[in-house]
Amino acid sequence: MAKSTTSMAVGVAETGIRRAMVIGAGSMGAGIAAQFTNAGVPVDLLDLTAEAAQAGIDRQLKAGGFMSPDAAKLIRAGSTATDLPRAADADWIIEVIIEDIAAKRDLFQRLESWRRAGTLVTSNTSTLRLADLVQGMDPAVARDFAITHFFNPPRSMPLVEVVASAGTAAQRVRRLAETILGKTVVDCFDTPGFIANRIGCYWIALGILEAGRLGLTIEEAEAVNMAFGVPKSGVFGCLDIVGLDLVPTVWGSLKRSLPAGDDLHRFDLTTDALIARMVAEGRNGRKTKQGFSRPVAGGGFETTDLVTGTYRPVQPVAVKDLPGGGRDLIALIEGQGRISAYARSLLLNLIAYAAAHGSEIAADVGAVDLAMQLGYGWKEGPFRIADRLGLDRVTTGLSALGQAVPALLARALVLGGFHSPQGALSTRDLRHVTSALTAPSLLDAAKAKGARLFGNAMAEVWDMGNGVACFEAKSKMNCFDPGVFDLLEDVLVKGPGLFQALVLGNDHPRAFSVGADLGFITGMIASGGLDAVERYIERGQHLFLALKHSPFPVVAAAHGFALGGGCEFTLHADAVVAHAELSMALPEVTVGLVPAWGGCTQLLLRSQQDGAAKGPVATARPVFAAILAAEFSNSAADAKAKGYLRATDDIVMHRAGLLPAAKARALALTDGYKPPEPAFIQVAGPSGKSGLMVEITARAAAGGATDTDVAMAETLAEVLTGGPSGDPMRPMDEAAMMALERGALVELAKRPTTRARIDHMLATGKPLRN
Amino acid sequence: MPREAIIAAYVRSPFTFARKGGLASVRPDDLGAHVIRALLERTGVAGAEIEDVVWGCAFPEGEQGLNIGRVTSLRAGLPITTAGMTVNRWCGSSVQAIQIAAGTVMMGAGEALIAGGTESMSRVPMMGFNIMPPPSWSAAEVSDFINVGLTAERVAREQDITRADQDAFAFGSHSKAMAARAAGRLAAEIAPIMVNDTLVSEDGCIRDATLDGLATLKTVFLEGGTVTAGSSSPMTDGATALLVCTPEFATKHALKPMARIAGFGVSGCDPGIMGMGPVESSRKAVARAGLKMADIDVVEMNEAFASQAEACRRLLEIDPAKLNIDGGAIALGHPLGATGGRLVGKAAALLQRVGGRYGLATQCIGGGMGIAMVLEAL
Repeated sequence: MAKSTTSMAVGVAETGIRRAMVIGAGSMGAGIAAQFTNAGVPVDLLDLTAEAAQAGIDRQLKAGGFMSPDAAKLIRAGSTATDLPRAADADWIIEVIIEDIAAKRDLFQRLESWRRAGTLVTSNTSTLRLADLVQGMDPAVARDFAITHFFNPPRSMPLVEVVASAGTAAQRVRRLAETILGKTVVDCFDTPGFIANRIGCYWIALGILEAGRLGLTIEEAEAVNMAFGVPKSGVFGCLDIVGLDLVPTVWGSLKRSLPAGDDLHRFDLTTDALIARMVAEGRNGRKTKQGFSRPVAGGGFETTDLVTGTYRPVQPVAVKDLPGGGRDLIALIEGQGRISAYARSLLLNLIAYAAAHGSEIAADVGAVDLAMQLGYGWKEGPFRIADRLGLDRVTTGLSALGQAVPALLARALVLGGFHSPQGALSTRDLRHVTSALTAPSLLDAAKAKGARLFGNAMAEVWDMGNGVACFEAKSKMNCFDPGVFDLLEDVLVKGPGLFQALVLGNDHPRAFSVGADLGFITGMIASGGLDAVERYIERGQHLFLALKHSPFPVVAAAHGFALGGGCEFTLHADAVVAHAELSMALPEVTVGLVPAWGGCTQLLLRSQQDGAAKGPVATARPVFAAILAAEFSNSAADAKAKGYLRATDDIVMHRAGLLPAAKARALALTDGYKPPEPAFIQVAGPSGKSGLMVEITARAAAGGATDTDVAMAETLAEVLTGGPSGDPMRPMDEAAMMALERGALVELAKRPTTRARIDHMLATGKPLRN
Repeated sequence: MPREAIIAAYVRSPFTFARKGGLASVRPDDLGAHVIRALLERTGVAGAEIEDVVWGCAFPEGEQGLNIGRVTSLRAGLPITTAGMTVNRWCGSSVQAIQIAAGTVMMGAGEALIAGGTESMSRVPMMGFNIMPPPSWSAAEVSDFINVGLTAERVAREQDITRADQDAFAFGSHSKAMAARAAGRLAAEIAPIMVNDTLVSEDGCIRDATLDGLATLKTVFLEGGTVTAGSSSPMTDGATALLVCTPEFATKHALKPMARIAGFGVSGCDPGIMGMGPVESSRKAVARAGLKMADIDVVEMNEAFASQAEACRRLLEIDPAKLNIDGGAIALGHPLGATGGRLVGKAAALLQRVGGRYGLATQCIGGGMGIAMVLEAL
């Protein structure tokens, strides 16, 4: 079902950025260029030579920087020696060259011969200040300059730190980075390391050196870090990723640019003997395949012993075995022994450092917390952790460590916390403020207004304004619990009087919907037999089909996982507005079943409507292949290529922009809306089934399919060709096709091979190939 | 006394890999029209003198539908008064097309015809867009008819053609084709074609294979089998055209006759061992020419798979030195409906080159058939 997938994302055309230029094709520069093309914006990517630029593109193709291979065609490689004049065509220029102020200034000067006045230039520097970059520039020119500091890899890391001079339209940079690149923008003050690396570098130095001083093993220290919300890679793992050889450069330059009183000087990685020894031994981290940890032949890892400096087998420490069970941070820091001493030092020093410098680096503490969450993957930032510990306890703890209470912490004490329902503590005034970052989503705003139209324990319908309602499931990963179906039934009955259009959406961080509740189905099979399964399936079919033909337009706001029934839910919508990062699939075969909430029917219908299909078997073939392969899309563009989304469905780069875009699409559909006409599918019949099976029997002979695969394929082929009495001369309606889906699912559910697949999936989370 | 039918000229397109090759973007009717125009240019024959275009195509649907013989004739610029037909005998389509053209000439129903064929395996998939076998056929029957790779495995097993035998045969095909191309022996039969501003003038499937490399390839049709992508003919795009006419027509146009059509035969066999088709059809055709296999100087046998080609070679007792002298389909490619034209045209050309008298062109055909044509040098 491969189709071209490079259309512009929602809102991009309106930004006025028709072409971008990225200078510097390392992993960061080429990754940023790739992200432009993911939004459908053509890019000139320049490096010292065009070959180097092309190599950057090739690396991104391998590394997954592009959401579809087609996107790479939007990049034109070039060299800074000959192709700088192309800057005249660019509406946004991003500089991603070496971290050398002279080189950057030189490039900016050369750009001025070609750049149109007003074209935005942003630097991806991670350490230099904007004021230094634009020093000596004509103020009229300097106005167009800003810093956009991305994190690697640019496609998946959501944060961009922005430093914009007073004259630069910071709002403009924010809008562009959100709409085109899908990033969350955190405004930073113009200081070394901005926010995330300023706090992050301190954390790494603190976390590593205190572990050594207090006599912890790396495993113990990592368990403490994980308990406070650091990703599994940990603090030592973080330096392994950065590279120990970069300690003198990164920590050295930060140290030099910070005043003597800065607490980073107290935890000085650049003079640490162990790190110096490891660098001397070539143990630079991941890049040399050995750092604090190294993989061993045959699987597993060894860890560096912090006392001897040599490798030894891993001695695992479980987070749940820490004082407080790893969940209770207070118990963790108030416990006895070296582990609690480490936790105490780590958390209190971190909070003190963030509080001491918060007002230098950001306008409010929410920006600091968010930068750490998005830039370093922490569950919470330092100020949220402080609130969780209790500010009195933090203050007392700091006094016990002999440290003064920073002014910002004192102000938070007055207000009762760094955060409150009114927002995050301002670093200027004694109040909590909301910012663009903490602005509520459309759904949260509706909730705050109490705009609930109706609901039950499992789902709710909210009024998002302008006659558009939002159907939000509340089940685990938004699966289709019977309670969700109850509310869908209400929507069909009550909806027409209450709203003009419906959006299916939610603010869940991971899933639009993972479909049917597998545990629920197995429970039914185990207890009541298959009649109950059939009723559950039939009910879903009726509701999804009724939703498709309801008198109001329906738009699905798909994001994260949209699997099985979740995918089928979207297939019945008039339109889908999808977040660019979308993992969509019909993976039923992995549990021995076939899609039965209209997935087969709707994909067949789309294939039939697709200009490329040339007959009833040709129509069924790509659907048969897609369902048997159970392929997950790795982006919305890929979901289009795989046929789960239509070419006309919208893609939104910024997750926060999804519900507003879905609402806008729904509103646009209301004018003169007519539900789709009843659809008919030309089926191929038994001879087409035999034709579909040719490929799978050939695969089985070649050892690529098991007997169970073949038996399932046969059942699926029968559905997709209209069953035993299917005939190309007798097109079937959607309900008749869905009856075949349902019959097939119930029949499959009887098979021991299917039960084995389901049980294995529930037990291990992985598919069984029986 | 029937008249004689001769081959007076032969030309083909380059053969290139389906989907990734240089001809993937060319419509099959345009590719066919290209070789017909080239044939007429090389012979100086006016289109108006062509009675009919007899055109082979294995999967005549989609862009190959609408009676591609007639469409190709019109696309080639032949006058509307020249007819056009499509011949379908799967892989044997264009040998059959030559036989129909020759029969037409011999019964006095025309002086000169163009015979040949086209297959774009890029644009119309093998087995077509809508595989709809009789529902009463068992899965095994469907598989025997359609999964020709498995029939090659069965032939290997039954005829004791080992993996090493197949790899050696495939290596021979590649080596001969490489040598022929390097010596410029393929260029004469190829009509280069402009595709999107690029001139495609050489075959695209010929690879510099090594025995060691072939030995490392995985089997593709049967788990634990012996047939690999290296010992199978690749999916290919291509077209071939031949001028079939009376000796008098050739004389009138100052064309040097290449060969006389001296015998022909088709035969059927079990679809599950379709690769053995050439054995019986070749015996028939040779006998009908009044000859024995030992009389044949040049053999062009299609290499659908090394296993079946080697098995047929052994049973027909063909001297390897006489077989596929410039390489076969494993190296050159196998555009199904066009291949027969290459085999007949090549055999006729080789008779002239090596100075032999009798040539044989033969193919196996999916569904369990063989086709063979005997030529006599003139």
